[in-house]
Amino acid sequence: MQIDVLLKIAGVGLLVTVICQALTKAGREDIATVAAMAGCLIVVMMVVNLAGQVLSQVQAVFQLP
Amino acid sequence: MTAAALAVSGACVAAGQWASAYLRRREQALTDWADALGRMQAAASHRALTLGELLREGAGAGALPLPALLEQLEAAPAAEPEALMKRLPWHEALLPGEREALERCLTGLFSASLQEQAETLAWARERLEGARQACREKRERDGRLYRSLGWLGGAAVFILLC
Repeated sequence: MQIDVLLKIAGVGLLVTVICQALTKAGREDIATVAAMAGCLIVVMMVVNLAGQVLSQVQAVFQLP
Repeated sequence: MTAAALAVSGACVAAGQWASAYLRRREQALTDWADALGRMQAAASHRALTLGELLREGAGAGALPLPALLEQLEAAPAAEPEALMKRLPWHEALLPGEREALERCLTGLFSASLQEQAETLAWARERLEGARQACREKRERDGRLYRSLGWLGGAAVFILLC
């Protein structure tokens, strides 16, 4: 498994957390929620991409159609 | 790829800095105008002043268009006030409502009596003071936030693109 994807997900999570904290302290809870959802969406897209790769490898190993 | 990521990240950082600097510029412009109107009001309260003297009192400091208005007045004394206002180099950070208030105030100074001049100046100054206070609160609340968001957004974009 590629370690850089994990690092990327961790970095996005860290930055989104800091952005949410900054926005919440500034009284912009609504934008903080949108930022958190955007971060989640980005991470989900990365994970879905990885899961697709895993499925392709399983199909290749077991020679499934 | 790295160069493109760096460019987009740099744009995010620059956008944050620009938004923060815009708030500072806007507050400075409103402060300059409020001070100028205060000086004009104080000068007009002591003795009767001509329009030129009044504008000279106001044109003390800051990047105000009052010297330009004076020059236009000296070049064309019979010009319509509204036409003169349109040609003034207004500060880009002023909102349309604030600019309209200032135009109305300066236009009012052309034809008003001494009493009306004082009332017009007081009205415009009160309005600008309110706007300046709101702008200061917004700058204190949001200025650092915009800078932080610029840096953090730039970092996030860099991580995603690299």
